[in-house]
Amino acid sequence: MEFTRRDFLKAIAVSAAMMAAGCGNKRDTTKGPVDQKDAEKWVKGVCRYCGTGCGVLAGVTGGKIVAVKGDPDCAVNKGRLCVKGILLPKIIDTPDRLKKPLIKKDGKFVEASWDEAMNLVVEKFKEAIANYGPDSVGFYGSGQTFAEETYTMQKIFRAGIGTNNVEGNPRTCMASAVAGFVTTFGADEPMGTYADIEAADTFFLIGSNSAEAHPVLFSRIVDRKNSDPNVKIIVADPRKTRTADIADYYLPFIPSRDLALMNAMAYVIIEEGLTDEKFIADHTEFMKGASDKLTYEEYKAFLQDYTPEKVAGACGIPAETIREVARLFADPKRNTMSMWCMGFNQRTRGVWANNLVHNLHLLTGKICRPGNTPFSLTGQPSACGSVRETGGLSHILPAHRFVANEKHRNELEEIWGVPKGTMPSKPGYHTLEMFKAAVTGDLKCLWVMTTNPGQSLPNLNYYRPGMEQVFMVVSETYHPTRTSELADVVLPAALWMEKEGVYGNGERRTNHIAKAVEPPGEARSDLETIIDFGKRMGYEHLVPFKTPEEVWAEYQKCQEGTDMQMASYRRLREGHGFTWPVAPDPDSSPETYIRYAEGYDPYVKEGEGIKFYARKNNRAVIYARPQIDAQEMPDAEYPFFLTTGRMLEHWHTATMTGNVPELKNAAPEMYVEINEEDAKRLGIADGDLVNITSRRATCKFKARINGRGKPMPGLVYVSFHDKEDDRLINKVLLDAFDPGSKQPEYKVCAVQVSKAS
Amino acid sequence: MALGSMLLQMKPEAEKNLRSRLAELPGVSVEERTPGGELVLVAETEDLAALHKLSREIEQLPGVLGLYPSYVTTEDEGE
Repeated sequence: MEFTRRDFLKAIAVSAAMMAAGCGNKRDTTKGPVDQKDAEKWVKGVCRYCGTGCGVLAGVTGGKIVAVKGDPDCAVNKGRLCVKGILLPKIIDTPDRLKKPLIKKDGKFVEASWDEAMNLVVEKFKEAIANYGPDSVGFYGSGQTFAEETYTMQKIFRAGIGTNNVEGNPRTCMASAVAGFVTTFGADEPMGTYADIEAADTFFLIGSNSAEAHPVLFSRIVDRKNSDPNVKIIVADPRKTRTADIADYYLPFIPSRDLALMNAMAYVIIEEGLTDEKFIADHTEFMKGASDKLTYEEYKAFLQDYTPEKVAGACGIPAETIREVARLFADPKRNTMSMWCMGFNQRTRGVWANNLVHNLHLLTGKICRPGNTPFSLTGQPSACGSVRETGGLSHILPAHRFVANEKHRNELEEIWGVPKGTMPSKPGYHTLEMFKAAVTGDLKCLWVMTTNPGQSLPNLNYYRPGMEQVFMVVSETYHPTRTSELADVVLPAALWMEKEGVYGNGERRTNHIAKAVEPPGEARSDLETIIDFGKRMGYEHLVPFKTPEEVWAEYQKCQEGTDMQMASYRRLREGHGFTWPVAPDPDSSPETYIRYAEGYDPYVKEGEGIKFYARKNNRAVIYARPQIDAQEMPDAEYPFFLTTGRMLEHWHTATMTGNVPELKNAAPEMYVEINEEDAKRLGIADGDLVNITSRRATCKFKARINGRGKPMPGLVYVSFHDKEDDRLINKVLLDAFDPGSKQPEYKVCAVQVSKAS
Repeated sequence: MALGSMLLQMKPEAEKNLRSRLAELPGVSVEERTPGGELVLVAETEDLAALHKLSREIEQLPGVLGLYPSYVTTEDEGE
């Protein structure tokens, strides 16, 4: 019998699928990529898209990436990928790929040499600093850069230029989660990891459509549910999404009323004696604000306003349902894992929402044990690794240090070899402040890297003129984008596996991406550009790096003595990701599954049990946080809620996925989802053109009724991936932000809905 | 020609009906059922665009919770 090449490929395909299903042979996962015969070489990396952090293998033939498959040795995805991941090779060689620097002259972009472009950038930055001071320049980075890139840039800005105007787009997706972890536990990032999924019995998914935004993690939840009929899933979301297909309880709460919902769950947990009193006594304290302590009894009194019966109407959830889900959450015989994402974070009370979900775990002691954890899902591949951990926001410094803390600044000044007092103590602009300063003229120069604020900021019509006015440098892979079109200089950036670097995903997993192919034309890695910038600015002493590994070695020095030690570059290169802390020896210590817990966390000594060591008194905080509605609620004039989100086929502003024909064709333009009853009342049929109008702008979309998502009555939904002016939904959104995290409220605003003529 | 394998996750009660529906789709074969209850599918189509279209069709069948590609190639026998 003949065994053809086709049969061979089919056998590989089946084998890859079985491996992805966890049915492969047991392997030594510390070794390098698997041996494959269907490409000249397979190179290990991490997916370029969401915060899940799936390991990928890129098949290289003839100097090009011709295929991608899931890395079977990566614990995150075990070989599994989503539809975007498998099509990654198609984002590389695209018609809009930028291959040479561009400078805008007389309103038109012209090609330039790197020397000419960088000389212009440096001239403008030096001029602004000399005339207006160091705070007149800023950097806006991304959770898609490599850790080495952001680390180096923030060092130049802080220790060289002397400003903390180092900001990044994780402010728009994760800042409330950061502030939630910091205020409750004293330190950023979750105590659990994805491995908790396989140990959990109850899942509380709120403000997350993981089926579309984190599909591989969703598949792990589905696997868990299908493996055990005892597993129960609660999905809370005003829009019924594909995630709700697996829900045992679906809670369509009225937008922004989830604070009341969680307070009511806490009330039931206490009222029905479902608390873990020993855990509460040993490991928690109660507070009202940053410094106002409460007693347990005062907290109980606070909750009297949140009985299920009192909040049922406001939340839109029957009181008995609230009681049932609270009992399920707190059942002492079950392990409970909460997961949330932008639905929580992109809110004017996003920090409080985070605090309140932490409350539920602390009241029940369902934390720091396998299958018991609050877990924040992240939106970008390296929001944690490249921004939250490296000091990529205007108020933080590398390794979870804070700008406002003199000791922290001095520690870094010593490591970086600059005089004590070099670094400014005042936090820089947060995202909306930075772009507002571009509008007002206070910011003279802005460098945007690997992100697209010209499309992604809320209330865009206000901020885009500022981007046009400021001297703006954009480091990008593609051109034009809605940001690069406004730039003065556009620098061609190597993409993904055209360079070497490190990503850190949402479960504290640091993973290495090897360089697989050369970038096209004159595109170069952002690290190379940043080092070049540092040298030309006169800060050669701050950038003595020749390789990403040398940057990592210095970054590791910043981690010493903190709770965030990571694996050495050698291990990262050879392995498939390590969840920090990797201590005491980054070159040999095991990764950490659960933080703050004896037996897992190297910083918790024998006999200490659970220890929230990032807080001075080792206690986590249970907060009394009241219900406060979104800043702009519907009224007679603007009677609908608008919320936005992602769809499976596209990612963020679609600069990448919009270049993949299969994804583009699957979802060529965004549409507005309308509840069936509302559509009927307004005389809108599926496919009709509809105006969505807020106090800020109007967009037009085709209506989708009973599509993949079904908003509750009174709510409309739009995915935010579309760049066309008529469908640029972020023009419609409100730019209110959380007073603590400074994260914008993308998820709720008020709009009118009408049939377009 | 394009060839791809994928894991299909479904509601357990939908398996019988799904198998019948999959059998009606040209170029699709159910190769395995994993211990976790997932179906391993292989699909062969004219090109990558057709493979993606077919995947979308499968994804929208009643009872499907998710479809996860694990391997795709457009390499042909003659190449």
